[in-house]
Amino acid sequence: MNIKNILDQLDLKKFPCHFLDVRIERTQSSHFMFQNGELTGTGEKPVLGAFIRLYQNSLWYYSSTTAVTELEKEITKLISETSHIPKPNTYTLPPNNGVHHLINKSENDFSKIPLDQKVKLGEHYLPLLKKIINVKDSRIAYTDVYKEKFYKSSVGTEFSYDFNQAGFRFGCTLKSGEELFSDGFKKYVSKFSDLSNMESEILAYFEEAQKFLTAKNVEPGKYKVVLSPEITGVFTHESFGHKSEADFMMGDPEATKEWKLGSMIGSSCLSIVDYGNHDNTSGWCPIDDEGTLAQKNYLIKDGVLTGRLHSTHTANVLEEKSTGNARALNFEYEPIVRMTSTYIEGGKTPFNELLKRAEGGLYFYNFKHGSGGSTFTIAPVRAYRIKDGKLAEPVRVSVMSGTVFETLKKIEACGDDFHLESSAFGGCGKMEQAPLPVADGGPSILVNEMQIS
Amino acid sequence: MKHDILTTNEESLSIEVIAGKINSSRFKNITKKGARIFDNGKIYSNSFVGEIADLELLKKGTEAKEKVGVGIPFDYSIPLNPQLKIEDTESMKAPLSSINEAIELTQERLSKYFNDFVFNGKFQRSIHSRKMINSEGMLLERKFAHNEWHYLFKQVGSPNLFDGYFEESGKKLNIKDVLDKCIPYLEAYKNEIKFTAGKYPVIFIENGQLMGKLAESLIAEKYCEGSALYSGKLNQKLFSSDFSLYDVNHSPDHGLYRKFDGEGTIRELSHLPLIEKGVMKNIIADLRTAKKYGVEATGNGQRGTDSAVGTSFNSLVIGAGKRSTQEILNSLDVCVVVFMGHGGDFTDKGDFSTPLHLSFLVKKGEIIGRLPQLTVKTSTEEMFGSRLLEIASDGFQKSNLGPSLFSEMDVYLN
Repeated sequence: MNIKNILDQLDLKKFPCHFLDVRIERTQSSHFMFQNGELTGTGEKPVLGAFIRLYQNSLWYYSSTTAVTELEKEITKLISETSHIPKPNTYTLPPNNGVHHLINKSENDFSKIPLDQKVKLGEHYLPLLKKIINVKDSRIAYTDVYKEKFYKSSVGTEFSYDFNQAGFRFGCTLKSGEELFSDGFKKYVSKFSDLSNMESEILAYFEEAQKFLTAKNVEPGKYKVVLSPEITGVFTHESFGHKSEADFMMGDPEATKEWKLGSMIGSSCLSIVDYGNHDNTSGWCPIDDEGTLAQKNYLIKDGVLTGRLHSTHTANVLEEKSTGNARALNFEYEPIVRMTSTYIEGGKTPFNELLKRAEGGLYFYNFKHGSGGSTFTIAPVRAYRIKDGKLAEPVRVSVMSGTVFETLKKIEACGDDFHLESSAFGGCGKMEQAPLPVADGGPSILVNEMQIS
Repeated sequence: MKHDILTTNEESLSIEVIAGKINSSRFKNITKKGARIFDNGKIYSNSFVGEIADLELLKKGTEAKEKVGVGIPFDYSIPLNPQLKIEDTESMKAPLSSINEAIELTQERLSKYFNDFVFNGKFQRSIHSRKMINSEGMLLERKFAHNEWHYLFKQVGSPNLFDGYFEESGKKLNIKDVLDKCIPYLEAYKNEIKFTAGKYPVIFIENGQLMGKLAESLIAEKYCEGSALYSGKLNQKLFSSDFSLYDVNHSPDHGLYRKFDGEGTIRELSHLPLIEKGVMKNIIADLRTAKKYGVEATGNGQRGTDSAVGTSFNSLVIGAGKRSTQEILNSLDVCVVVFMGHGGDFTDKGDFSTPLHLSFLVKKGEIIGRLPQLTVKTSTEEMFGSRLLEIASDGFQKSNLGPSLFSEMDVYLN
């Protein structure tokens, strides 16, 4: 089915409404899972659907449908549902952002690789389970997605682009005596061949994991901490990224005063960016689902609040510019304000120097999950004590947490080891729309104090 | 070749409210189908989103099987021709647009707080149907309507994403009950009080996250492989005699109609005892893990149209006690009532910690004020065992399927 042709033939300007746009998504995904060496799940999933938005009489009306060849009928039906009470259309029409057709990833399209070849990849790594000691339980998983998006609006903006990613995870629960430890090696790729030859990496990963079987619980309290780039990323996303999403300010006349651009809200070494143009990451979003092109948005620059993330609606209400952050989970949902690739910019301090400055503190390497809110939390997997300027014995930690604004001011140094972390498993959750692919990262950072328990 | 076909449909109207006013309406009517072909000891799956005839789906599945030939091995018996039809016609009488009445009801009660708080949320009414058929005559169907709503509230000028929320879901909404229970706390919101760290009775109004580590031990694969915290402990007393836990698969008032699972296993027993009076009684299993580990399949093989079968709970519900939540609150000298305490986690040893984003101090049933940002620390053994104080006869709201659990925890200031 030629989707571009379907949109080309659709004249959106003829419909009697203030604004109208249509997004069509064609997705092909596949997965497999081996549990304890046994193939327990595999399959391919094709999805084709469209989302229609129209604005009329001061209200938005949305419809999601799989009938992509009958969009005229769907639009007509949606228009019949609109309120007949005339109200001023307060939504200022977005500009015509032009025509951008950017489909260019078909060469490495994961859907072109036969499913049996993917499953063989999992089988290839199964013998490693016998080489890792203390394995009690294992999960070897793979997932990929190739998605094409097509968009057209009544103001003339058109785009199409594609998104291609895959992830591999080799997870084990180790047990020695009564002691348990669960962890997983993972890899994100944009080319299938990059999942070859991971044996030595996986074995080394689980050799280190063995040390955690004898790790003791940390004493709850406040600690000086060093966060790895992966943890810096989730901290940035959860602690500040969500707060930068302007939809949380809707309806609150005081919000822009509290969040006044130009305010000093972090330490001077801190700059936070959201940018959808990092190709081959899970935050890749060159044009958002309203047709706004990605741009490098500094949320904090040298400690100063400099921006926030917008859809056209929130930008309208707050009289600011849209930033390319209106994103929908899939064709079943409307775009809302979301992050893309969000990160702390790299600094100049070597990692060893960060450790020296965190004497007696803790180092966090990776995590299970994180969440935002007035208090952010991160549930780490691997944590180590820092002694004599070096990583010492592993410890077990349930969660680390802190209040956002206090913690931003407690970042003492940023390392020189910037890394943007992507994941094909999971993603960001916001209300009903989860998991949305995003990336996050930064350098290793030194934080003067965090609550650890 | 044997086959089965799972068809789901969701038709819904979802209305978004921003600052107390309707901003958008979303209409959805999506059908999804998944077919499984059983051939020569393997299961081959394919799925489709949208309208497609069963025969066409099977044809595509057969073609895919022959082309890529990747099937999941199986060596267990598939239910042949179970028959069960659950249709809650009463729940479906009202049109989808009747959800507007719920918006009006909340606005009537909350409008006087609009100067101090911003209320943003969604109201949704949906009709769900699920049908499973197979080549041997299986016919399993359920169809019902479901309502849900939530409001995130935020004090005007607050730097937070939101300061708290109200939510409810079920066959019928009881907005009066939710607001009767929550508004007194909303009124106490502005009164932030001081707090001294220590040991306190704590109640989470939504206590699902507290079950995490224990739940893992109740799934056959983790339990039988020996990788769960309570592996090998079946029929042993692990917790307080006051603590029981069930997997519940049928409770229409709460929108739960799961007497059959994604593999066609019917479980007539609505409350499967997992823990009874502190003793671990059962683990849950799907058909594969039941055969592999020699345990009973419990109707917990869950799957979507596009996913493989996994073992998961229908709804984990604590056994009810004798006194109501409010009676217990009235009797306690002091209690920390947690409205938002997400993001926490367990260590592999069962130690648990979570920050409390929104909690209140209640003394003898009287709400004293909002507490500062806190962290609680406890463990699975303590929560349900040595430091369990009491389990209520009901939940904080009538819409809660499970009762409230009161447990002493260590509470720290952040």
